[in-house]
Amino acid sequence: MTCKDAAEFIEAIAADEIRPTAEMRAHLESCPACASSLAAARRLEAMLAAHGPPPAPDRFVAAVLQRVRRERWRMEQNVDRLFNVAMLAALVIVAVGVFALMNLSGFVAAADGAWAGLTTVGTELGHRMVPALDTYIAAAGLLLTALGMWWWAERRIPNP
Amino acid sequence: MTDFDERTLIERCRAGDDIAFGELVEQYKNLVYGMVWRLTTDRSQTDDLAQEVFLKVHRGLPYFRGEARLSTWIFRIVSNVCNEARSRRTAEVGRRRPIAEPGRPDNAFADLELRDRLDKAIAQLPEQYRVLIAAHYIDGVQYEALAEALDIPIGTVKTHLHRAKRRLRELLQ
Repeated sequence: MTCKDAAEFIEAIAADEIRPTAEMRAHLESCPACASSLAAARRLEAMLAAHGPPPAPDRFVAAVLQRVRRERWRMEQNVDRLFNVAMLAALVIVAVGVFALMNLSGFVAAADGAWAGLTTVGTELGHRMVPALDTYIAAAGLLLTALGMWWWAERRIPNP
Repeated sequence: MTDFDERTLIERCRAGDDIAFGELVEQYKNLVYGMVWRLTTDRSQTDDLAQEVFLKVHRGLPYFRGEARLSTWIFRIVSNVCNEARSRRTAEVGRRRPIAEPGRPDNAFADLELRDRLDKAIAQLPEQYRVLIAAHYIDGVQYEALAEALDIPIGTVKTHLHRAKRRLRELLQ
């Protein structure tokens, strides 16, 4: 066995992962350089085993939980902001949609001239709304979706 | 902790149970803290980075499928967080301060000096060796877990550890 061969096993022997064979033992006993390497490897092994890192501080768990709650609170704030923006956008879309629909269907103009006969206007409105019913349904759906998102967000995110 | 206990704990954490997450942190705090302590060159960051690891664990738990052991998954997060921190630090500090410094002159005690030298020698190891040394000499991380976490065979883990220690020995001489 050469020193190069022995060098491959020194760490494993020092860590007690393998038992040296008779050939290895003979080499380690006859070679001062390899014996010295083994002694140094054993010292290092002991140092690493003894030189453990410090344990986590006492308040560590509490500090982590505090950060988790803070992060959750921030996320809730963001969801709230997002929801408010979505609600505002939905309201604007619905308002614009309703106005555009009334304008297109001529209701705004008709209403101006129909103050005198509310019954006529009601009938006319009813007649004119029917063709655009799908648009009204879509607007109502959008509003309900927004309300649903709000409800979901409120349930999903517990208060800190 | 048995697999069943671990699964139950994870489910409770996923359901938003803070007490369960506190138990999880309690269970792994020393492993995480110890690894971060060993992997970071700036010890003042240890507390902050170890907390960051658990924040990532908390965020990631809903997506944790349980294919690997929880300790293995946490181990990977520790490694990633420390790598990111090192990259940030390298970008901030550049090469103004070398990792390996001469021993502090006010370090009067021999054992402290030895620890100091060992720390600095570990800091000079290549990244993959540092991770192995950091993990292996903290209770709870065995060869199998290291092999699983790093996706390398157990034999390679052992070989790398031996090489790491040989390099350490050379650095300490």
